[in-house]
Amino acid sequence: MLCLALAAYSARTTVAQESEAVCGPKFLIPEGNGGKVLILCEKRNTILRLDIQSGTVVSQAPTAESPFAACLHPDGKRMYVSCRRGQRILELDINSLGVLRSFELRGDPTGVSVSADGKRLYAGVHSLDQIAVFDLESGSEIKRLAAGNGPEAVLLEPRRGRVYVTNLLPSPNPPDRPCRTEITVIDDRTARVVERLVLDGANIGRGIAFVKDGSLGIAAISRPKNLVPMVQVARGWVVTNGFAVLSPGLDALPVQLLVDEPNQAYADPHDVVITPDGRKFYLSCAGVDTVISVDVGRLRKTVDEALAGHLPGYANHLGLSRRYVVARISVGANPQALAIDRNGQRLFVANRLDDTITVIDTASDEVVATIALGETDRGDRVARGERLFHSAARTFQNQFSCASCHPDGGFDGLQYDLEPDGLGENPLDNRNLRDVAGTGPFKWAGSNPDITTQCGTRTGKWITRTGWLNSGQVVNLAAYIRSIQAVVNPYRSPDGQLTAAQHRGKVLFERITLNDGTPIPEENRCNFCHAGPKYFDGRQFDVGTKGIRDTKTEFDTAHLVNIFESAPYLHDGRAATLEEIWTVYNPDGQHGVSSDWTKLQLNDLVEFLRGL
Amino acid sequence: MLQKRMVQLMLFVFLGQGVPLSATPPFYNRWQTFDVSDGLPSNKVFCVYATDSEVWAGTDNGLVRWDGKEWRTYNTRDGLAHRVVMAIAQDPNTGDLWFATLGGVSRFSGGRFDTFTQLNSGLTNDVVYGLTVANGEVWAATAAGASRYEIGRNRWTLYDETNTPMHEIWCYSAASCGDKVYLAVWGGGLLEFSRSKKRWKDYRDPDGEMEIDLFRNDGLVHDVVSSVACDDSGVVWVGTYFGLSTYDGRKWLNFMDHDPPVGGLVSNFINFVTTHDGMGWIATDNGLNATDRKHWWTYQRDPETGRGIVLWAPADAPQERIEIETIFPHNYIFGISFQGDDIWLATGEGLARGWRAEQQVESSSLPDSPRKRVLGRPTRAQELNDLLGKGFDDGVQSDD
Repeated sequence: MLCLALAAYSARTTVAQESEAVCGPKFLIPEGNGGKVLILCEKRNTILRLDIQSGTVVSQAPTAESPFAACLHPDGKRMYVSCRRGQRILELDINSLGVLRSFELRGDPTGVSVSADGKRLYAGVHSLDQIAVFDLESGSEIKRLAAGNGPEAVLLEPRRGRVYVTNLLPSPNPPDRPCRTEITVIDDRTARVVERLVLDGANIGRGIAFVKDGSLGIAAISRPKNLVPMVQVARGWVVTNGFAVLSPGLDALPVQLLVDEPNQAYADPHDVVITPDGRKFYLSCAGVDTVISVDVGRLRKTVDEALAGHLPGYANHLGLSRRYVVARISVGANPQALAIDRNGQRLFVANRLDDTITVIDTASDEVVATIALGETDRGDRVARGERLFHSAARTFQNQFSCASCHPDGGFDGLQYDLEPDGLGENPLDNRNLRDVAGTGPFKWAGSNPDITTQCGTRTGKWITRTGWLNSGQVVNLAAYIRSIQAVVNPYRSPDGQLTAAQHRGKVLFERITLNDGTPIPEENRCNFCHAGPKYFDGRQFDVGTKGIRDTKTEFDTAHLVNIFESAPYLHDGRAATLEEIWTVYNPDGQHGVSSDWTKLQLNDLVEFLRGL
Repeated sequence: MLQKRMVQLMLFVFLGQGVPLSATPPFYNRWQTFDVSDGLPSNKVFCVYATDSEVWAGTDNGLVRWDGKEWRTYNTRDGLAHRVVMAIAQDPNTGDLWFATLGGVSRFSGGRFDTFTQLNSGLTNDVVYGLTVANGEVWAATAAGASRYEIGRNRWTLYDETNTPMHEIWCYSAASCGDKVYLAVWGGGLLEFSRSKKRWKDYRDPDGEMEIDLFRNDGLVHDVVSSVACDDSGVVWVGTYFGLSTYDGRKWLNFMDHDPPVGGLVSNFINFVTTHDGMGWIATDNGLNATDRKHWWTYQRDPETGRGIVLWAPADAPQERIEIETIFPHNYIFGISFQGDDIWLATGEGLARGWRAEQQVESSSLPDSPRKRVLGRPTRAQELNDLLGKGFDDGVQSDD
């Protein structure tokens, strides 16, 4: 696809830089009139300054682990970089890229934004569903605000003094209800949450942007239809892709629209930028290596001319995108971050999985250059598998990639119904893929012995509805999945020591007698099934959770590493929290003997489990 | 004589001069009641909390929010944990509101309710009577101990008889006072937790007697503690069902309704205590008190006339009495909150708003009443006794 792009346009591909390691461009900040671009290299833990004209890296500096997002300070001298695995935010001198200060925080920071007065910094904390607020004068964290589920992008809209936070995962909802996500809105003056924009039927909130006057905002979203059986993939209607239109000040619900076409989807909407004149916006669709150009005027017209009561239906309308989409531009592999220069003439696209930056002329919507940051084809199995994982090319009509339901290698918090065991039967909670290596067998039924089997032919038959991958590709894909790291656990002490509560919880987890001294049968002890370094035994058990739509009674023993992040719980996602596993869904004590626990003991056990 | 007293009173009320007081409470001379006819979900109002721009009240049938223009109700269908709302607290940092209900704790943040129950979280018990939020922590007083929720860490800690000197586990109220957190324990006295030292200390009634305070000011007046608050100077105010105690870290001062001065504490049965501008405000089953611990002010509703009675009991002078045309709807008061110049009361018959006398109020929502103060003559002791059912036979001067 990259070659096609280069051939189709008179692209000016530049020399690859010293490629000490893969960059994995994750975030872009244009400088000045776009002559240079700052690039966060997620995989190299580096920030680069790229000269667009020459295609050379003119400076670079190390960051902490996994730089994720960045923002500028209003003084123009400083910038802030969130480092997700590094659990800190770096304040950098914008000229030297040297670290001025480092703000540590509990959890993994995602999007960042500075308040209009330059006194505060807002940072999403994905793993704790919070927004951390820092006082930039003292450098100390002053509060945590409640976000949605997995805050992602954080953006100040200065005209109305609001900070908008998208959320990656769905807000808690019963498993039989359509998903919804929220955009959290903070009053920049008070640094308090003042509004939550609920996007019904939406999930995977990513990038967000506003026109200069603040009258219109666009947020990238997906719209999974997880309540219908996956057989509907073949009808072209399970995961749809698009954006939400925000109209601040109009007291109107966000309008959701798609960029898909009836027979062609544009999977994994990721980032949004709007031209300075507000006439166009661009949406990167990471799963199909495409950037979509949308005419804002046509978009407004489409919305304005909607008949009364029809707007909610537009959210699922596959035939509308032709009205406002003006170009679909092929770019590199897995385009995520977007940025546009100050005068709006050039759009920069970070192609995360082939280490290139695509430059697009916004007047013509044509690629004018593709700049390599390193080796564009890394050749190793994991890298190739990572591309397969993030590509929707092998899904029927490109509706979704593996990453659509496993964003960032994790999970989407939803439940799905695969039809091999009957339509409408056995809906299953989507499982977290992070640190999944060595936790086979897979599937809640435990019927797939390894990842290669799990991701092999059955995936093509029951999920993607295509010819899917050849055996070599499946091996590559499995290699990547095995490589996905666990997230940083905010409940774990940095020194690895258990807290007092966690220690008490561990004792309970390993106990062999009830509180009154009665021996607990071995098979009813926690650590009988949840054994070993990842707390699972690879077997299936009846823990009394068979539901009315289940045809089976025994389910795979879940591994417990980083169980804190993978709510909801149990095979069908019925337990919203860890506590509910025992307080609500263990009436007969089949999922461990819990009836004699005190509340204090349950709390201790939950603390222990969260720290695993 | 009467005229002279009235002048003194007016000076005290309106100028705050001429009376050697450490603090002077505002004089609320005009009241308005809000009830189901205004949009409240119930007239049983258990708690009230006023922000700069809004008033929230919890009832036995849901929450209600007044934004200055209209009332909006919230109930379980909106995500509230339970229809019976017992207490409201605001996180001073985030602005989020937290509600203690009989079905758990709810947080209201940006229009979203999040509910924490004993089933879905580390909350110790769903019957939550009180809570306080400060320093990034929520403390919930429940029928089975207290829970501390560290918001930033998403961590719950449970406190009961197993890890604190909690004689009883029936916690009624919680208050944050700097480094300290206080729990009002029904039958268990007052518990103090030092956040920095992570230590508990209990304060109990030294005599252990139910109906009397054997030695005055020897400690907490009674173990049946219903409410706790603290003021800016660090004095802890403790409401019990048998009187009021205050503690400044060194000395206890106890007050009961039969103590001098006459017209002091209006009832020993205290539902709620709070502080404002250096004064303690006490919600009882028989009216409202304000005090700086030397001087007392009492607001009551005359059940016969529906008019208000304001009693002022100086420390070394006869009691004074003022009648006002309007007053709160019932003397059984559950909660107090302040909003600028106004006071809001949660009562057994509705929500009440009082305006301070100095204030020029212009509001279309108010009844068409002028700023009229009806100053009644000082009442004879017998009249007070008839009215209040109390033994006002000491120190009350006749105007005859």
